[in-house]
Amino acid sequence: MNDSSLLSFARGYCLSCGERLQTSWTYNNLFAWRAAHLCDTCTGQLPTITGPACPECSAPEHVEVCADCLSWRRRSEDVRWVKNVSLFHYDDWMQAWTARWKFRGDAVMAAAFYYGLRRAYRQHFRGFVPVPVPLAPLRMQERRFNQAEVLAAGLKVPYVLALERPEREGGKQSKQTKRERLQTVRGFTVPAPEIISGRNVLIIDDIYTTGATVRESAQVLEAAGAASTASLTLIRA
Amino acid sequence: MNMLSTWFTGSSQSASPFPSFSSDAEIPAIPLPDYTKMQVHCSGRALLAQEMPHDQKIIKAYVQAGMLQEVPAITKQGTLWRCLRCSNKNPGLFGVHACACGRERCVYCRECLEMGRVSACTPLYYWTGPKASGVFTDPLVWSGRLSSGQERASRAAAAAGLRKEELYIWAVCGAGKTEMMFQAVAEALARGERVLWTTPRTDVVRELYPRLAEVFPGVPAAAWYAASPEARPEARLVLATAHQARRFKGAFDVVIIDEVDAFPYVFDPGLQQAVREACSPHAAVIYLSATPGGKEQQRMKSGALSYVRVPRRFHGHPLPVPECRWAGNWRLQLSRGRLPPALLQWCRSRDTAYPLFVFVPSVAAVRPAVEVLRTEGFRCDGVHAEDEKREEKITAFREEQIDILVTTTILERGVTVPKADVAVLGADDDIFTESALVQIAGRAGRNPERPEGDVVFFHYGRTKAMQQTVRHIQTMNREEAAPDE
Ligand SMILES: [Zn+2]
Ligand SMILES: [Zn+2]
Ligand SMILES: [Zn+2]
Ligand SMILES: [Zn+2]
Repeated sequence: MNDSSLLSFARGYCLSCGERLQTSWTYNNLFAWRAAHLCDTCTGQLPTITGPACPECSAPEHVEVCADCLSWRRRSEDVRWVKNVSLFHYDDWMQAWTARWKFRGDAVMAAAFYYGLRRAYRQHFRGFVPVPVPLAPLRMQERRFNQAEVLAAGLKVPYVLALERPEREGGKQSKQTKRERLQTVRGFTVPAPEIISGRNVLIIDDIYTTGATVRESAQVLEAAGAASTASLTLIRA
Repeated sequence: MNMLSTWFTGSSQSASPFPSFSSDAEIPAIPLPDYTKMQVHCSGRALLAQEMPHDQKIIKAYVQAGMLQEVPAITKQGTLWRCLRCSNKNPGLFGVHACACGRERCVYCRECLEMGRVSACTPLYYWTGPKASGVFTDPLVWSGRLSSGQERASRAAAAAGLRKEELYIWAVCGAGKTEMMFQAVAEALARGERVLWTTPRTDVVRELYPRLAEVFPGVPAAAWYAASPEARPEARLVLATAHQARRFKGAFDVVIIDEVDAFPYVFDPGLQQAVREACSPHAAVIYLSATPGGKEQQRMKSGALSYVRVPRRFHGHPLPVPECRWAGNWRLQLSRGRLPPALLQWCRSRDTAYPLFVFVPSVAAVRPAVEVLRTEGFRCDGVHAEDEKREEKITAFREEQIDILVTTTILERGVTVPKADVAVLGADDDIFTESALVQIAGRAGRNPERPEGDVVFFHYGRTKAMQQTVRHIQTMNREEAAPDE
C-alpha cells in the first residue's frame, strides 16, 4: 500500500510555499534531491533539531533524559519502549507549515521531508515495522487523509495499519490542558494482533507533544504482542 | 464567437466541461424545498456539498429534479488531470494520497486549496435550473462629472456592454477609470445582467468595493479576495480577484478586467481560463489598463481589437514626468544599513506636508530603508506582500499619520493616496519594468489641488525600462484629449 509515486506530482514547485523552483529535478546527489522540493528560503527556515536533545524523546536542549521521559519511565506501562525520534521542533514556521499541510489538507507537502524521515529510519529503526497512528473515523472522513499514514508512506518500507481508533468522545485535543491530555484514553485497538506479534514496531505520527498518543499506542501494541515499540515523529513540540 | 478570445490568445479553446445553463428551463413540477434560496445561492457557481445551504438529502432531491448537476471535481483528460473548479491542469499542482474514499491514490488540487479542498472523490454541484435574476432600474447614484475623455470611454463601454463586444480602455493612471465604468455597469444591472469586476490585487478589490457599494446602493454587491469574509452569494455586482473569480461558472454577462496587463494574468493561462468560465460564453469584456502589452497594442493598431484611449488625467493636468537621479551603488549602501545620500538629501529637502511613497525592489530592502528614515526623524513605515498589517499601515498613511511609506511593488497599482510624491530606490533593478515604472509614476499628482507631484527614480545606471517610461509618459502628455481614433 506504499505510495512511492506521490512525488510524481507536485514537481518543480516548493512544496512549502509554492514558489517555482530554480533547481531542476535530479537524483544525482542527496542535496540536489532535497533542493528540488523546497526553495532556498524555506530550507533556510526549517527548524531542524540539531545539537543536544533528550535521547529518549528528541526534546531539544536536553543532554540527559528529560523530566517527561523520566515520568513515563516511572509509570512503566510500556516496558519494551525504545525511544522517540523527531526531525523538527515546533516554531512559527512549522506551525504555519502544519496548518497548510493538515488543516487545509495539502498532503503532498510531507514529501519534502521524506528524505529526512528515511534517513532517521535507517539510522535508528532498521527492521522495525511502521504503524501510523490512526485518526478517528469522523476526522478521517473530514480530512480525507491520515497525516501519519502519509508520513509512513514516505519510508518506502511496507507499513501496517495495525491500530484502530474509535470515535473520540469529548473535546478536541488541542483545547485540553496538558493534564487532561495525558489522562485521555483514546481507546486504540489492534484488531489483527498477528501482523505485529513478535515484531519491533515503529509508531509514526506527525507530532510528539506530551507523548501521550504515542505512549498509549505503544502500550496497546505491546499488549498485542509487539516485541518492542518506538516512534518516529516529524515534530517534537 | 467567444468574446474573450483576445485576452486568451494562446490558450486552447477546449470544450467547456460545464453543463449548459438554460435560462428557459421550466420551474420544477415537484415542489423542491426552499427553492428560491437554493436558486439564488447556487446560480452561476460551482459548489462543494459543504458550501450548500442544505444537507445531502435535499441536494439529492435537486439533483434528481435536474436542477443541480453533480460532477467529480477532478477528472482525467488524456494523461492530464484537470480541476473543474479552478481549471488547473498543471501536474505540478496536484497531489495524491491514500484517501478516506478507499482509493490508494486519490488526486486533489493544490491550486485552489484556499477555497476548500477538492479531490477526485469530491463532487461539485452546478446549478442547471433557471438562473436567478434581478433587475435594477436606475441603480446608479452618483452626481460626479466625467471629463471629456472619460465621457468618451464611458459611452464606448456602455455600448460594448449592450452589444456584448470586447473593448480595451487604454487610460493613463489617474484618468478615473472607475468612473468610466459606472454607466456600463448601471445599464447591465438595469438589463438584469450580472457583472464581474475582476482585478489582480486584493488591495484593489478592497479599495474599489466601498466606492462601488456607495454608487450602487440598492444593488447586492460582494467583494471576494483571499481571506475575505464569506460574501453574499446572491450578489449581482461581484468584485473579485482573478483567483476568487473561480468560484463562479457561467455567471456573468459583463466582465470588467481591471489592470489586465498585470500579474498574475499575463503569466497564468489557468486563471485566464477560470475567468472565462466565470462568464457566460457571450459576455461583454471590457479591459482596463494604463500599460497594455505589446501584443494588445499591435492588435489595437491593426484594428482587430477596438479600443479607446484616454491620455489625460481626469483633472486635465499632464502626468508628472519622472526625473532620474544618480544614487550610486544603492545595493551596497542598503547592505550596510544605509541609504544613498542622494535619496536622503532629497527627502530632507522636500515639503513634508505631502505623503511620500518610496518603492524598493525587494522585501529585504524595506526594513533597512525604514530604519534609516526613522533615525532621520521621519514618521515612516514599510509594507510588503506578506505584511499582515498592510491595511492598517496604508490607512495610517492616507490619514497622514505616516510621512513616508516604504513599499515593494505590491502597491504599484490601484492604491490611491491623493497628494503623494513618489521615489523609486534602485529604479535600475530588473523588477522595475516599463509597465511597473509607469504604474508607480502614476501614483503621483492624482489630486486636482496638487496635480504636479514629484516622481524621482534613484538609480545606479539608467536602464532601457527607465528611458522608455519617461518617453511613454511624455508621449501620453503630448497627445490631445480630442478623439483621434
Ligand atoms: Zn518555499
Ligand atoms: Zn525526553
Ligand atoms: Zn483546483
Ligand atoms: Zn478520495
